[in-house]
Amino acid sequence: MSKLFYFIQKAFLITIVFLFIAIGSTEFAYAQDQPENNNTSDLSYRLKRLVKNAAPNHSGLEYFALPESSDLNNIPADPQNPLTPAKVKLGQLLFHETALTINPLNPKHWQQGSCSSCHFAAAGFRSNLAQGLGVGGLGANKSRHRDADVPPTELDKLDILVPTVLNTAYQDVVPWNGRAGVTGPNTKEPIIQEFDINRFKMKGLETQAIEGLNVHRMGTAAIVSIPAYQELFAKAFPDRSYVSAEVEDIKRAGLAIAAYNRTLLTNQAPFQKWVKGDENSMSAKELRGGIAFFSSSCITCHTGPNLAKTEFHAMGFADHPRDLSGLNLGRGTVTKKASDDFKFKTPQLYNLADSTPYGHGASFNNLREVVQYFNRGEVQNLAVKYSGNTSKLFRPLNLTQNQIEDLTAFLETGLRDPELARYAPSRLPSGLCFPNNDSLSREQLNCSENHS
Amino acid sequence: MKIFFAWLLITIICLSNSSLAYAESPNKISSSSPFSVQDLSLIRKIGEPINLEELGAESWKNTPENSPSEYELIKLADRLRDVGRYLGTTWPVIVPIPVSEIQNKKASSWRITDFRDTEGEWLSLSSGHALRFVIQELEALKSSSQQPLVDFLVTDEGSKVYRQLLGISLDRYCRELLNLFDFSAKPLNK
Repeated sequence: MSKLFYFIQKAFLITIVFLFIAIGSTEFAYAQDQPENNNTSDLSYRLKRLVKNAAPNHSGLEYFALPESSDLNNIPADPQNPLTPAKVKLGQLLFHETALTINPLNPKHWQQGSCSSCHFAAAGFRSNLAQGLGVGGLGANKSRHRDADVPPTELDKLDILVPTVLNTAYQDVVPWNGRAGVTGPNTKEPIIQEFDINRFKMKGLETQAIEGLNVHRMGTAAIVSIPAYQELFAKAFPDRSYVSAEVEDIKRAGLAIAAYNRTLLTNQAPFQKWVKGDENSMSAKELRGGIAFFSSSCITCHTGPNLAKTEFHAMGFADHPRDLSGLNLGRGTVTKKASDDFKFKTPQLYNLADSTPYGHGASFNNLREVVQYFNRGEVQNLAVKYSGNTSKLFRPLNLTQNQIEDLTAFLETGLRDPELARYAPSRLPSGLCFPNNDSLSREQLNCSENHS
Repeated sequence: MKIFFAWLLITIICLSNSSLAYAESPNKISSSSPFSVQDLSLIRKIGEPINLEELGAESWKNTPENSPSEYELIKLADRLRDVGRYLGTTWPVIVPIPVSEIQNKKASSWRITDFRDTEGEWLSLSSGHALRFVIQELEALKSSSQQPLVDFLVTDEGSKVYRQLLGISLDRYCRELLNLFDFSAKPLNK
C-alpha cells in the first residue's frame, strides 16, 4: 500500500514538473513564434479591452481622450489664469516672437531667439538637438549649432534635454525635476512652495512661462509700441492699465504663453482618433504595439490623456554629457530628500518621433533604443543603482523582437499628431523671422521673402 | 543553444558598453563621448608634471594599505550625494595631499583640484565627478581587472600653479576621499 502511495506521489510530482516545463515552453514558443495578427478588427477589439481596463473607475476610452484645442472649458487650467481665445492668440504670437529677446548675454544676438527656438512645432515642440540652443545658436532645426565667435558662457543653452511643451496642460509641475508649480506633487513640499520661482503660487506651466521669460533674458519693451500687440494685450487682459510697468507685462506675457501652451494638444494622433471611435486610424502594427504597451508595466506611469502621470521615477538614464557637474540628482535637488535622488518627471509620449535624442540626458538616439532599454531593465547610470532609488517598476519587460518593433511603431506613428504646424502662427506682428532670427536661420527659413 | 549564444552576445555587448570609462584602465583607451566637454575647462596655467616623490607622497604608488571596502564606498557615495543635494553637484571636492607625507615643507599645501576626462579635457573635481569616481571604484571591486588610473591637476595655494599628477590609482584617490570625509558625523538627510 505504501509502495502504491509512493508511486502515485512520484507520478504526481513528475506530472507537475512536466506540466511546468510544458507550460513554460508553450509560453516561450508563443512569445517567440506567434504569427503576426493582421486582423485590425480583432486587434482593435483586444486593444479596446486593455485600454478600458487601464482606465480608472470604469471611465472607459474617454479617460485617454484629449479635448479639441478650441474647447477651452475642457482643458485643465490654473484658476488664476483662465483660458480665453484672446489670451491663447496672444500667447501663440509671444511664444514665437523673436523680438522678445532684448537682453542677450552677447549684444550681437539681440532679437535672435524665442521660446520656439527650442520648442518648435516641426520637432514636436522640442529642439531636435541633444542640447537646446536659444540665443547664440545659429541655424534652424537639426542644423542649429553654437555661434563659435562668442564664448560658451554667452550662449543660452541647457544641460538637460529640452522637454516638450505638448500636452503639458496635464502636468501640474514642470520641468524634469518639477521645481515649478505649487500643486500636484508639490502640494506637500514646503521647500518647493517657498522657492522664489513659485512666488505667484500658480501651477507649473504658468510659473515656468513667467520664469522662462526672465531666465532667457526676454522682455516686452520692444513690442509694446506695436499696435497689433497693444490690441492683443488689451483683449487678453482687459484689466491691464494703459501704461503698464514692464515687470507686469512680463507676468502677463507669461500667462498668455502658458494659456497657449495648454492648447498644444496632440488630438489628431491616430491613437486619439481611435480612442474617439475611428477604428481604422491605426495600422495593424500600431494596434499590436498598443496591445504590447497596454499589456505591460508602461501603463503604470504612462497613463491619462497625455500618457504621463505627474510622478517622479528613477529609471537609471545617463545624465546629460553637457552637465559638467558630472551628476544630476533630479527631484532630489529640489525636495532635498535622498529618496528622491535621480528621479525625473515621467514624460508624455506623443510626437516623440519628431525630435531626437531621448532621455533627460540625451542618451538614446532613437525610440527603438528606448524600448530596448526598458525591455532589458539595466540602468545606464550606475550611481542610480547604488543609491537604491531605482524604480521598482524598472524591470525587464520580456518583449519579443516583434513586440519591440510593434511598440516602437505605436510610439513613433500611433502617437504622432501629423498636424502640429496648425499651432504655429503664419507671421509675427513684429515682422521678424521665427522661430529664430539669426542670419543663418533667416536664410534657411526663407525669411527675407516670407516674414520681413 | 541558440538562446545561450544570444545571452552570451547580449552579455558581451552589455559589458562592453557598461564601463563608465571615467578613469582610464591601463592598456585601454576608453571610447569617447559624442559630445565635447569644453565649457567649464577653465583657462589655467598648467606647469610641468609633478611626481609623487616631489610631493613627498611616494606611498601613493602602492595600493592603499586598506583599500576602500564596498561598505565604505557606498557610505562615501551617500555622503557625496548629500553634498550634491545641499550644496550643488558643482560643489568642489578638493582633496589635500596630507601634510605629514610632504618632505618639502615650503610646498605643504598641494591639493587635487581637477582631473582629466576621457577626452583629455581638465575638469574641476565636483561632488558629482567625485561620486562617479566612487561608483567606478565600486564596479572595479567586482572585477579582477587592474585598477583604473586617473590623471589629476594639483595646485599649491601659495603659487597658484597647476601641475599634472599622472596615473594615480582610483582606489588611492577613493581612500583619500574617505579620509577627507568624517564618517563619525551624522549624515545630513537619511
